[in-house]
Amino acid sequence: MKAELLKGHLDSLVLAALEVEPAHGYGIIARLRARSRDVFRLAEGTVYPTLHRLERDGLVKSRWTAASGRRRRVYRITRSGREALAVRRLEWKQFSRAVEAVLA
Amino acid sequence: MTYLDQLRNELARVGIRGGQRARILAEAADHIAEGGAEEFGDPRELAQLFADELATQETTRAAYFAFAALALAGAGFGLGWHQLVLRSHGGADITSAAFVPVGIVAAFALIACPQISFAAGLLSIVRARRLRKLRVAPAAELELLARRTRTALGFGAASTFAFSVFAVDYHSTYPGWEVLAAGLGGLALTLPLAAAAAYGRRAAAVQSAAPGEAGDMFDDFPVRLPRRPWLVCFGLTAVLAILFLGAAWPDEGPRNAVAESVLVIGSFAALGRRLGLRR
Repeated sequence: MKAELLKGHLDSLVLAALEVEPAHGYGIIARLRARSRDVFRLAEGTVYPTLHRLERDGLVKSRWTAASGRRRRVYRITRSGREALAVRRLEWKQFSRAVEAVLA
Repeated sequence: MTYLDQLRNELARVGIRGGQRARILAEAADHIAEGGAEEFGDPRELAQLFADELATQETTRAAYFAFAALALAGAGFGLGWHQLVLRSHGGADITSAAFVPVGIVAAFALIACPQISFAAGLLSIVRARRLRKLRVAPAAELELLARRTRTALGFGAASTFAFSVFAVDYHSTYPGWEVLAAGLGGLALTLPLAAAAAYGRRAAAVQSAAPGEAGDMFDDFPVRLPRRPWLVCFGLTAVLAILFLGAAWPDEGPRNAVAESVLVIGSFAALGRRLGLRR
């Protein structure tokens, strides 16, 4: 899938990827790939500006941990993030239904 | 040169430094150790992506910070103005200054600079409010916002400095404690403005490259106005002139109205493009 198509939805996708359990950047990319059956492929680094912005907006929180001798930043969704995700899910359902109705 | 070296250089190029850059590099290092650098993305594009978002956030925040600093300085300035000018029925006789030319310049600055600062600060905060919900604002818009903020702070600092100079130059008119309080108070009021300016300078170091136009004042206000800047300028001048005329009619009203008109039109001509009042 073209990266441009994903850009507008990356915030929601990242929040959804963090909904079940916290993860680091690479883990989030891996979840997005797995859950989209490898359809979502984007330059992996682009997930970090999104994560930093979501953190500034209070939708995720992060902290450093140690893994395999390396420092790793692990992100988790906040209560505000879950609320925002619920709203975006609803908006997406309405939008996708409308697009489907037009395109079908 | 490794991928991380390239990313470090690119982050520096777009003005991302210090803790922010260290964090990005540490996260990139961890990611690359697990998944390789091939799919991490072009370092130049990635650095620019960070910069576009950070510049939007930081420039907007700097405008809010500046507005708060201006409000604080404005409150102090208003108090001093009340004490030195209004309470003593018009203030000092203009010829009683220790150095008359300095006194005249300070008196003029006391009248002109706060008004320009207020106008620029208002334009800055209106634009900042419009941009605050954008993930990435055009670089030209951010540049305009930063210019408005800098202008507001510059003229704000000139106002408080002029206040100190005025009090000292007209020391023979006022009690000693008032001169001391006004002299030191005016200088103290420049401190929050200096802090806001320093924050703005750091924010401006991050360079956005997002495309788009800066727009002008007609993009800032929700009311629909005819897109003719000079017509708006003359309309505003007329309103202010009537207010000044009425406030001191018949003694100083006409003089004040003319002076205010000259100030508004002159400022519009000199700063209109800089502040995005006209293109």
